[in-house]
Amino acid sequence: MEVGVEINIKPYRRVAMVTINGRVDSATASVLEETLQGLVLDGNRNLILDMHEVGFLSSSGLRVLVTIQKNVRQLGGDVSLAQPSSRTRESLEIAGLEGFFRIHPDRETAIASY
Amino acid sequence: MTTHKLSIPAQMNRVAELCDLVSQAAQEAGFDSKSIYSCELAVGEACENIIKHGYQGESNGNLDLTINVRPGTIAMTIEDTAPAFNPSYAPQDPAWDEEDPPIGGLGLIIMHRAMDDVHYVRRGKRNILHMQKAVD
Repeated sequence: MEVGVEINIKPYRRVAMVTINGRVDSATASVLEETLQGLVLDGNRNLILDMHEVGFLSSSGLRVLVTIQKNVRQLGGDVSLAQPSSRTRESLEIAGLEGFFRIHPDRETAIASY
Repeated sequence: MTTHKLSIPAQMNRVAELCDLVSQAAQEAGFDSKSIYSCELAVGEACENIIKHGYQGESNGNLDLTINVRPGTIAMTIEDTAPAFNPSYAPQDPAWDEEDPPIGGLGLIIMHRAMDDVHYVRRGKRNILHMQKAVD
């Protein structure tokens, strides 16, 4: 049974790559939120979320994604998703959010888009 | 018909256990991977709502899940002993601006879109949430 979330950060010149592995729900969304808000406070305006190993994404996780996207857009930045898992895509679609994020097929394409 | 039951304390880090049982049951019912995940999502959202708003936070109250499986259908019931609270109060399906989606209310939207039927009853001191889905 998958519980918990693991988050790794890799900075690039114009964007920070955030790899999220595991389950994003009410028990773990605050960790993701603190991480992403921390990156913005550190001056990062563009974030790529690599979500190919996300096995569960509840409304709590979606709320974090929407909030951070709104925050960075006000600062002239953008959050996009790289290689989202099928479950990530399904959560976005069922919530009607699939159009709110650019989605890239892989990390390299995502990085090159900035 | 096969019946599965599991009770957990009302703690967020235990909800995954209910979702795992739902996944198993939905596979038994013959659902595809997308529908299996829909069932997991719906139960996860319902439980999070019950914990946050029914029990007003994590507590020693229980979440009691019963799943009845028949070929092609799954019927799930979540019972709790929080004060009267309907975790499925149906929102108006919003026509929101794609450039400015809401931050709140997504859980209820997911629950109702994921399942074919969601309804709540109060029986004595128990809240009872029924959710049902059939193979598309």
